[in-house]
Amino acid sequence: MKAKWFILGLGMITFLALPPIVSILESNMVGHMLVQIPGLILGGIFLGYAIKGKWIKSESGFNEGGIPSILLAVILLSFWALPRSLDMALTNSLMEIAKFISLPLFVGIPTVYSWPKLHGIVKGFLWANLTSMLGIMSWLYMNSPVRLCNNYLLNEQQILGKAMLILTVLNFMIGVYIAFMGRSVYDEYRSER
Amino acid sequence: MNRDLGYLGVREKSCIATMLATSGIFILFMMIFGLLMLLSQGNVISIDDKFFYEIMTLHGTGLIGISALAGSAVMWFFLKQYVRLSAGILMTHFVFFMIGVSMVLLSVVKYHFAGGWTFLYPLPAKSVGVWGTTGAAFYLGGMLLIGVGFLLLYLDVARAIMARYGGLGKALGWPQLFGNKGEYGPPPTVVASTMVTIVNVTAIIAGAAILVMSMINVYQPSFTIDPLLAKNLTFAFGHIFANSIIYMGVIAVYEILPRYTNRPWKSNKVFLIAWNMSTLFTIIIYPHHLLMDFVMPKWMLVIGQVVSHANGLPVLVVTAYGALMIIYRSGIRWDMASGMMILAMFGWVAGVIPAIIDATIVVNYIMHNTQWVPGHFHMYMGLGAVAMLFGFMYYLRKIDGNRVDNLFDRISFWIYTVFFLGLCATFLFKGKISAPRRWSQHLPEWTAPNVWGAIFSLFVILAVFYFVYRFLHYALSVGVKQPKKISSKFDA
Repeated sequence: MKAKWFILGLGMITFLALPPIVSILESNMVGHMLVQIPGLILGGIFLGYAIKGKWIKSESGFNEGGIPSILLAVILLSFWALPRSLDMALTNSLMEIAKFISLPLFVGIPTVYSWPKLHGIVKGFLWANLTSMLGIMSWLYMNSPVRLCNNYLLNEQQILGKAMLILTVLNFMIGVYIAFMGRSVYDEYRSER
Repeated sequence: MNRDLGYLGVREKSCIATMLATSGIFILFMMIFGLLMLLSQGNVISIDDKFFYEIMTLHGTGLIGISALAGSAVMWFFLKQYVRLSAGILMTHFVFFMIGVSMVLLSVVKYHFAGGWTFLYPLPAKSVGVWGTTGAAFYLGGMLLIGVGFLLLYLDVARAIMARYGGLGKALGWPQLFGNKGEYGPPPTVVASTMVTIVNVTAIIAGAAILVMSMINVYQPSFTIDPLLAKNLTFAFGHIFANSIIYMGVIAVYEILPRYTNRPWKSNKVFLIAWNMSTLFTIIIYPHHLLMDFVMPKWMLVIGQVVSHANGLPVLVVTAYGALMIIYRSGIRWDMASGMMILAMFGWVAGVIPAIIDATIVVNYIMHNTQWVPGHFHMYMGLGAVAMLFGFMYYLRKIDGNRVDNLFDRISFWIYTVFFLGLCATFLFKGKISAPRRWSQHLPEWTAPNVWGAIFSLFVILAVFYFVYRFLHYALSVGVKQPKKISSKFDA
């Protein structure tokens, strides 16, 4: 089971790192921000499942309540959400490598380690914050009178803004669904199994 | 009467009492600002226009914010009987609130922010030199912090309800409505708290978005916002948040009247249908604030009118009818707490009528920017929601502090009721004679009702001063051994 997660995670990151895939995804802003970056994080999450409890057995000393890990993930994610960071990754190969390493290692894996430990309120806060911040980013990209990334055109960032608006609505709806149905649906599913 | 407060520790009671005492004092000060505005509009005193809009901003923001704080204390107090809530989160919510309020006060008092509670785009950034970026940033940042505190509280409420009932749908009685899970749903307090949590988390997310967007616009005006989007977000936040106060306050009605009458208030199917309808309606009703914005999509304006007509009815009718049924021939012994609850029912019922009239598009074109609207929300909030909050304060000082009401309490109650009604009547009359709202200067034809309003509000303030004094006497003694019974005239 663990090997499956490992292969899946490593496979995903390797696939995203293939030059033609990098070229396709980074040729437009939506591909870069909403496919490549989440893909790398997802790869990290799979790796996290693979190594959880194996390499790092006791984490109480450095991951109390899951807060330090999630803070690391949020800070790193905020950094890679900045248009300037995307520009640097496109023009500086060292930054590109840093992106491919840091997103799985410092966002994906810490998320796996922290999420089960996080208090429900923190999870809810992250969800609510993500919803409003996605909305704000969407507005910023759609309304900015100037190009925020030197490497992408104005119309591309407007498309990204629209995509983010859809994500805002989706994220909100998922939260509402979980709040209304989540636990009970999950419990019923488990009891059936 | 059930007086068991064993489910609350001293620390929790102290926090609740502090929140309520703070609310009482703030309400008093905000009412004094209201009196100053009426005196100025009535040409009795002369105040600078800038100062008028500053205190108007504080009056509007302050009364909604502080009533919501007290409402959250009422909700937490009663909900704690049914679910495991975190006292730490309650205190964090209060601390965030106080920091946010300090920032708002600073923005108005020191930096002269006077953009109204609506902080309507592009006003924060374009003040024509009246205030600067710092003032606007302090106001918007303060509001954001207050929102964060409320968000944490509601997330804790949601977590606790989901843990106990298995989901918000179950807490709203869906198994009873759509399945065969019995006749009665969760206790009314749980149903109401669930509704408030759902609508207010939605409101706070919308509010956080427009506050941050406005802040970006203040510092970087080239980042513009679609004014219609900004107004939609502002009212999606403001209307829902203000509306939720009465839904938190009504929990006191559901809990206190059954204790007084020894008759349980059960959440039957009609009750559950009403609260489910109000959950949806409260979220989608806000376009009635934008009926004059002709560029709004027509279907949204239609929703604004139709849902406004429908929203007042379900919970209101169920609650008002339920309250009447529960007290009918119950042999209830009237005191300040029970009296305030029934006054609140009246204020709620009477207060929505001007709103329903104003939410009719053809009427709205004429009435919306007149003092008719303050007439509605003063009645709805002052005689409805705030009466619930004062009633709860009296209930708490009675069951926890063993205080007994005296003659002055009863006199204050009637002064509050009669003069508040008079105040509301002057607002509604000013609507009739087309006196505009949010104007510092009034024409001579409009001054007389302003003077009458000021006289009425002076008496209201005196009554509230006495309510607050009475509650403070109890609040300052929480944690100390309470006397067996205090009943002399100026005891407490």
